[in-house]
Amino acid sequence: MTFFLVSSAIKVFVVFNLIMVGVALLTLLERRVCAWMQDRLGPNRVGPQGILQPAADGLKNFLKEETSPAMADKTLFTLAPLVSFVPALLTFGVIPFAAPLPTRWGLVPMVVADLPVGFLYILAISSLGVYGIVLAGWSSNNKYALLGGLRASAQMISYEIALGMSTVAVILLAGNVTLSQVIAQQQQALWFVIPLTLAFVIFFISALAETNRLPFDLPEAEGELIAGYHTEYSSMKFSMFDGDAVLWGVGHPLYQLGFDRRSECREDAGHAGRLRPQDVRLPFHLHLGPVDAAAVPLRSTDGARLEGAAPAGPAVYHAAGGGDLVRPDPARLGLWSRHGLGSRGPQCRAADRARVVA
Amino acid sequence: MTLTVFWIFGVIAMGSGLLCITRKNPIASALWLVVTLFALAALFVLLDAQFIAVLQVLVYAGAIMVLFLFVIMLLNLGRPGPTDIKGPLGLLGATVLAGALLLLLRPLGEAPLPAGIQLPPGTVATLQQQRGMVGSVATPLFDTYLVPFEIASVLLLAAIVGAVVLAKRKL
Repeated sequence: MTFFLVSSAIKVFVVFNLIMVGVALLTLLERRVCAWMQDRLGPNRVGPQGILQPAADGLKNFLKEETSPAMADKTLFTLAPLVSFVPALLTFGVIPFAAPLPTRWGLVPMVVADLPVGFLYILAISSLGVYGIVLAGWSSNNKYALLGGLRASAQMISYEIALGMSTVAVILLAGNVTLSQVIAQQQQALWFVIPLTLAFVIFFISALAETNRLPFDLPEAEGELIAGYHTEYSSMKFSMFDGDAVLWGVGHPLYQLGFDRRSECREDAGHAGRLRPQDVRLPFHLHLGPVDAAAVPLRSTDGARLEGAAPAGPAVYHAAGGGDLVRPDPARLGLWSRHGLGSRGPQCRAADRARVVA
Repeated sequence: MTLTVFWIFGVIAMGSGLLCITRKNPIASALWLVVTLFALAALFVLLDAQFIAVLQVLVYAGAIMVLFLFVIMLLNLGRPGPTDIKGPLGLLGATVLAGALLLLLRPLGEAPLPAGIQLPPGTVATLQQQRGMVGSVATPLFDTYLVPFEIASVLLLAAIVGAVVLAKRKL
């Protein structure tokens, strides 16, 4: 019993920290690759190749003032970021990250909890993330936030069906809903992503929609809704949704990682299962990267979206509108995104150079 | 241990259920209902029915209650308005009715379980070993109770068709 508790605590600690650091690094990767694709430099000033940028952003967000709208529903307003953050983390609890590790006290399974219904548990828990977004939109008492929340909930409810259906094929092939056994199946035969390519494409698309990533970022469309459901949030509460910090990813890129890990269970997990115990740290390194990287080009295609725009938002609004335009009106913002950022290639290269020179 | 956990989640379920029906704000009501559903899922886990517990969260908390919230927000019912409860007379009526319901339920709680639905101890665990977590729910559903299951599916299909017809006049 004691051994179980101690090993579980260690596993929780390790998984949590790996996810957090992984998210921070992936965020940096995303920003750098985006910048590279748009012919800019991206964040490269803090530490070698900007590796400490997420830490700097996290520190910045910790030190920002927490604001709260006067007529907001205080309880729900505080609760909403947590509700969107916690389910995203909880899903990692059932994902096996390596083969069982033999120790002096017995075989330790390299998963926090190997639930017999692990697959469905991930589906169930990740379907709760929508509450955070809906409540954030509603409790802010702001019509743009409310519209963003409504759009988000409509989109997430709709794509959840496609998401669930696309994973049914995996359950059928595996004949099981225990994640460790689904992995064992793929170890013996081939990765499910090969026979189920179509289902995987559907899965990937709906995962993008569920996490409000770029082709599906209508809930936070800056051009029309300011920032959608998290318009009124600041400081760490904001980071929990979307920020640009150590926890940049906490809201949706992490959430997306949650999905990546699930897709990993179908495409690469066979691989993870085959790893020897001493290679415990490999799977994270191997699998968190590629699928997230696949989402980056999708993101950088939209020239109107400044990558990492969220916290940089006020500054950008400032620069674009001149004067103290912290909350620009949507019409003007639309104009700005069409004429200003739409043709942002050379300008922003120049801006980046200027920053480097300075 | 099990009993302690049962009491904790039982109290949470009852408390949040009460809060659900007494809140004036529809959003708060809906959220307390979500908490109730979670506590019920925990109770299902205590009964060794993890599959049912996960389905409870997936279907009710994850899908149906989100739709509830969506509709509440869409109709902008969120702000608390005047209540329907009509003074002390209404309260008295409610108390009398609740007491009557409790009196009616009392003999039901004291009656012994019919032998047909009593399980010998350890059966659930063996069954799950043999058929797996999902199989022990699915096999009776597609075997013994196939006809009721199909009737329920047809009923759901009719409801879906009806909803589409009502919502979309021109197809």
